[in-house]
Amino acid sequence: MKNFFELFALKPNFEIDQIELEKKYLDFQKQFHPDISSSADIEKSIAINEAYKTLSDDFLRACYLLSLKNIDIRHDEKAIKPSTETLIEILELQEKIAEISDKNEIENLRKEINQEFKSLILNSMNQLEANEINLSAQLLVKAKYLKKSIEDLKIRKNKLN
Amino acid sequence: MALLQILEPGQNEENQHNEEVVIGIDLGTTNSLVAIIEDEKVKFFADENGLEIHPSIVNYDKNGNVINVGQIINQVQDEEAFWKTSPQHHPELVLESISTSISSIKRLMGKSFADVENEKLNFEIDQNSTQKEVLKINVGPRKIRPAEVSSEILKYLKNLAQNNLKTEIKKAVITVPAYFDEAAKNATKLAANLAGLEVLRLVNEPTAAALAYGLDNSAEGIYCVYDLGGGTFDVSILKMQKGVFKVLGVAGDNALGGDDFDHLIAEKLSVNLAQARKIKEELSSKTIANSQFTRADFEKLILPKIEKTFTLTKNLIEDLELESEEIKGVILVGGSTRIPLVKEKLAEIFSQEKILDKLDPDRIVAAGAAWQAYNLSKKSHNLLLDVIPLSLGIEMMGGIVDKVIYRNSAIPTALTKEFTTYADNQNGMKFHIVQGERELANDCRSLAEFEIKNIPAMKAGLARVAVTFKVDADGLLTVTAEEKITNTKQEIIVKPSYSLDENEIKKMLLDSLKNSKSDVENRLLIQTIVEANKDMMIVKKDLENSSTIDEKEKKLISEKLENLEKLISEKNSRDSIILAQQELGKAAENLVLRKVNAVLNAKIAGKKIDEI
Repeated sequence: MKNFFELFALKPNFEIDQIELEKKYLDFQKQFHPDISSSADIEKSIAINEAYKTLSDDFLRACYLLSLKNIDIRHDEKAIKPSTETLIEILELQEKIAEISDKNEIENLRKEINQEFKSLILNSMNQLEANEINLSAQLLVKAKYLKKSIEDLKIRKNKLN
Repeated sequence: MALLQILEPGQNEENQHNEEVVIGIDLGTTNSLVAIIEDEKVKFFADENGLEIHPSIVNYDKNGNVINVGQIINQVQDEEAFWKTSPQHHPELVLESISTSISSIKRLMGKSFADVENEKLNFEIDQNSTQKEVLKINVGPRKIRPAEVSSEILKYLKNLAQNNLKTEIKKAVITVPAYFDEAAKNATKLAANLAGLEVLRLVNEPTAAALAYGLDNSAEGIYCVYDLGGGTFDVSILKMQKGVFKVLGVAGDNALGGDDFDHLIAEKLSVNLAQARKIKEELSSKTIANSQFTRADFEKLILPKIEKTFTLTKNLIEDLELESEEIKGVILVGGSTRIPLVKEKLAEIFSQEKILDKLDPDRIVAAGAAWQAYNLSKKSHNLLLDVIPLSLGIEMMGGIVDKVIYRNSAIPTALTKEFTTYADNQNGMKFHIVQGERELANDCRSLAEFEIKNIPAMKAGLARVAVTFKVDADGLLTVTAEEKITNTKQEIIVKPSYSLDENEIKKMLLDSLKNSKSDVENRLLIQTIVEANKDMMIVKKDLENSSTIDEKEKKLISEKLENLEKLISEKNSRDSIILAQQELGKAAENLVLRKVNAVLNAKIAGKKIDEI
């Protein structure tokens, strides 16, 4: 089976042309979506949706690139152990989120975490490029925890409404 | 014997040659519409009075038989006006024969008895159901499910299209709120099947609206659809490009709509719901209604509910990592978007010129359904890429939900997760599938439970069970579980735990097929009898009131009356009743004419010349 990059005829790099990706995605669905094609192609339509979802999202694409190196941090809890510093940092962040109750504070914290989340992904991908796979995975695991924290903040914010 | 097919003049040839017409249906809480695309234009089907918007109301008599569909009973109140406009029709007997009038059935689709225990309804729920069972409504001696009521509306709509097109219709595209859960969607499909319709696609209402807008205006770019209907609120964000309509995300509330505003007004002013609704509608154009209740009062009353819709809208934009500036236009759907406050508040989030309020919010969803029906039957190049509105997951130890497919995932989609045993020699595993965003399974909607058995004896954590969730293009879920070591496979089509079981559905289908012919005949007979009774009542009343009638005329009319009465009492054939009814009409023609003239004269006599 082709990997997601091969499916869209893209080089397996973190930097990809999103406009080109979307164009190919729509062309594929115009060919294989069950509304247009015979029902036998539903599996293809499903595979294209899954591949597009993964490649169009920075975090998911980064994880996918790492999984091509046989480290699946999304689905395998034990794939990479986060460092002690990371764990402490995340625990502190979680405590902060549990206590926060001001909407503006939530918004500021969200922006702050989001920025770190994005730079972690970029750093991780730079390490991957340099073939520092373990280091790359460490950074991405931390990004995974931050992603969860951003979700938690959203829930927290909705509870305040 | 082969029958020659004869084309009626003026009939659309396309419909004759094309073996299948697919209709688009907007099955709304308050009103329903049915449409097709003809010559690249939307054509709505009207009832005998020329109306294209059909109230979603089913009226039953005391025996539980359907009298009619789409008729609001409390609208026929001004008897005098009624007499004047149509002396041959009289509402009293129809009104009398209606014992249950069911409206807003959509809110109950797929609901269990427990779901509606505390809801205010204008009809009676069967109290004998268990908590988890599909609720039933008491209609005379019958106990009917919401899907059965809904199927009567669908049958009515199908017939409107069939009678107009003179061709049999078997397929439809039906719109549903984006936030309808699996149970409500399944109930809608069941209703369609009971009405003899195969559902080619369930389309989310806001998506349908965007499709209609986009195709009509060749729109490109990102659009928001704000849909505040009678019973539900949906907001969708779509990207339209080159004939592809890609839904980016949806959010909504399944229990928030214009009906709630009616209830609030009714409570505040101690009026009935019909009156409350009238006041609400008046306040869209006037600033004061009912002499004291102002638009400001109304806005204060509904503000918390309206605010909720805007929070959902803003959160969706944020979830999709969009800025409101990136949204090119806001399409308004549903009657409640006529409320000035809604438009004002929307203009605060977006800007005034982005609010597309020139569209008809009552028709745009049906137009979209018709377009999608057209797309699917003609294999056009337009494509709709939709998402699932609610996450799907599995309950884990401790009642926590492990989400398998996240909300706003593009469909069709599939995902597999592996699970293992937690005890040595554990030979079975139970799975509880839930739908919703909350963390605890108890707070989510329970969809199904199933068990995989006969796992060979082995140490804890060694068995591997792969569970695959597959969501089709309608957003309906199938779950497959496979035990990898012995390759034991189990597949279940997910139905909500409290849904009808397979046998029950089969029985309902069989019943409806078996009875469909006699059903139709019975209904026609009932309708005929109701009509004949009306006529008889009018004639009798006129006979009593008439002082100028001569004996010969009176005797003839009485004879005809007796004859018709006899035929009705023995439930004679429909044809003979119609014939006797016509004879009565002929005999009483002069009598009725004299009465109408007298009524008109009386009206005119009391008025000045320039008022006539």
